Amino acid sequence: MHEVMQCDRLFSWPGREALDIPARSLCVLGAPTDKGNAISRGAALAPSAIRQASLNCEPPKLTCTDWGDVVDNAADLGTYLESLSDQVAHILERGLCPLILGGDHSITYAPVSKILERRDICLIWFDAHTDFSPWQGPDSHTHKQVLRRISKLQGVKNIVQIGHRGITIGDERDLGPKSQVITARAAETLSETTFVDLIPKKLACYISIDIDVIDPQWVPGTSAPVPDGLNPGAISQMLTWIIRNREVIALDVVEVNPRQDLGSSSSQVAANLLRNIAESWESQIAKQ
Amino acid sequence: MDEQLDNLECETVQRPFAENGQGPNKALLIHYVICPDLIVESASDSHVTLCNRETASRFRLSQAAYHFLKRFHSPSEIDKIAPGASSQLANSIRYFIEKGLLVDANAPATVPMPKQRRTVAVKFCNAPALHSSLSPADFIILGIPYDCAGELECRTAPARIREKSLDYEYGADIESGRPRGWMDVNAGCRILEGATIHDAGDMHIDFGESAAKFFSRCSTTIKEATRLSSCPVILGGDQSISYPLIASLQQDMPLTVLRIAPDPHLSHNQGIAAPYQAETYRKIQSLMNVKDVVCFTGKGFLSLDPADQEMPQNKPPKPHSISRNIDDYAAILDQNYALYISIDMALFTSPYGLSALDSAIPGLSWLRPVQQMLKRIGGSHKIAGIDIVGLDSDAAAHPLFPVVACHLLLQTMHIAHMYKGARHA
Repeated sequence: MHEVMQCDRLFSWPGREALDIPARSLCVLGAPTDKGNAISRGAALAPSAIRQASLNCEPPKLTCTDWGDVVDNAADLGTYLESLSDQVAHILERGLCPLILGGDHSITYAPVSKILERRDICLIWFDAHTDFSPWQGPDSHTHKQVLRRISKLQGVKNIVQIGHRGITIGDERDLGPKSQVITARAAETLSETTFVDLIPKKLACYISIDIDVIDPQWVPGTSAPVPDGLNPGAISQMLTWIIRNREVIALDVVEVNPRQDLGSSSSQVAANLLRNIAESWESQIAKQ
Repeated sequence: MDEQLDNLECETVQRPFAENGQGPNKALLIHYVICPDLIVESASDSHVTLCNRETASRFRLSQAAYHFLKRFHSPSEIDKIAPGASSQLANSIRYFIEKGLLVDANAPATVPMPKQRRTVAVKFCNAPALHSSLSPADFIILGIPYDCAGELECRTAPARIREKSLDYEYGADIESGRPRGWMDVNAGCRILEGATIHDAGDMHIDFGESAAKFFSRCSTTIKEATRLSSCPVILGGDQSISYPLIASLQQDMPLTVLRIAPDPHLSHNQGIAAPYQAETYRKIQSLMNVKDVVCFTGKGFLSLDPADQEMPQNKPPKPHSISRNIDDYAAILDQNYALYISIDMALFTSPYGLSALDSAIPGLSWLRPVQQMLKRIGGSHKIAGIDIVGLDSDAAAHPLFPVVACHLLLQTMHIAHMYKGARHA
């Protein structure tokens, strides 16, 4: 575990020492690893870049907490994910809501598997890709197969994949009986009611935001950009709808790649999304 | 005679040495030497593979044959190296001479003919390389990494596009054996189902060769390609490469040229055979069978008055029709003529876009209107050829723009394929 400096914390939120944070508040945890990304390195730099970009935003009204990074000093990604999983457990024990800053998308396995020890979930997967490549076996974690792997876990009752697009070899719009794939083009036309109805009311939601769900004209800094995506406003809108209408148990933002970025535009888009989440998060605390 | 020469083996058939009139006595008078272009590519205990760097030809020799060949490291007469050669030995020497492994040391050096094309290690979508044994394809990919007409470095683009295209692997359906095509997720349909693609590699470029000569070679190669496919697909290069391709294709059919680009880029003809980049479309417009040149700038169509090329220099081109409505394409693009589509990637890398003021890459906002236009055109025109140009090395190095290029190419090829389907229906 690595404590980040106060000035680099997301929105300058207090660190682990803050004890007066209300239950169900967001608790930031950086996962600076890109060992699960087969395409390029760089996502490991994202937690720091997003925190830096967050300082350009007006601070959200709600004060949450930033516990720093889980340092990636293991050569083995599986070992790292276990460490990340342990820290997520600590956050859950404190009654807080983990907000993970990846890292590549393979990290999502760690918080999801830890949460599933406590309750069933509906997975909301914002992504240009389905991440449903064939799974290479229990010792292999990559960002290309992470959703396939997670979908096999007991307790993942529902999956809503939003933003799939591009040109693919096969038709990936059917990921199995508990999954719904909403293409980027289809997502543009959804109303709040139609969208929220996709998510079962009784299930807590885990929201995973692969930043490549957003069109690369706003987010060029990601390792596998796909043209013709959604605009940041549309994603913010959908996040607000979920937070307002459903229980959210944890979130992550992954695949920001500062090495591929133009300036810090992609990190800034990620920071803006997080601010939007924080601004609407009071309704989640009130749900308690 | 060395004992190991009994094991000479060099992939040749046994033939009498003097079969074609070149008697052994005459050959015996010549001083032969190992071709200076040969290198050893690989060797095992039993065989050696030699490669001619000039022709890229490869030869697999037995170790015994290779050792025998090495005796000609300095110019020597055959009789000095192998006096009273056996029939097998004579055949081996004949093979060496015929294949150019041994050359006449006293013959004047020949200037090699420039190669037209060269093979590439990575093929577009991993499609098969063009080969004479293959049936004609629906599409032939040809890279033209030429960028001498402009200021941008676009010579890396064909390689970058091909490398990224490996994410969209070409493959056949196991049952039908026909190409399976791809899924265009946002369009909600499969594209290019059954469409065959071959990759012809890259045009060989001799930097320093005159542009006129190079463009002439391009035209010849394209003629050859169109015999082997319905539609050539060119990976440029700068925009000047469109000229020789259109010049070649318009000899067989009248064309409308649709250029997708940030601006019409039409300046006045300076009367040179090999046009500079800015002159390309003025030259194209003057070709006899080019009926119209229409520029789609993202804001709409801009079609230029053909008479305008006669206007004095420095007078700006005069549009005779312009429309901001994509639906007007039918009125502007005459369906009686085949369409040549040229996509200039500068539209998408440009700092100008629609209303996306807060975006990092405003030019990318043109992608959707372009896709909408291509969709509208789909099936209504015969597509004579496609090129994609203007992808400079800075943009090509970013993972995004080669992806955009691949998407646009596959989507444009799809509309070409749709027409073929409609016609056959």
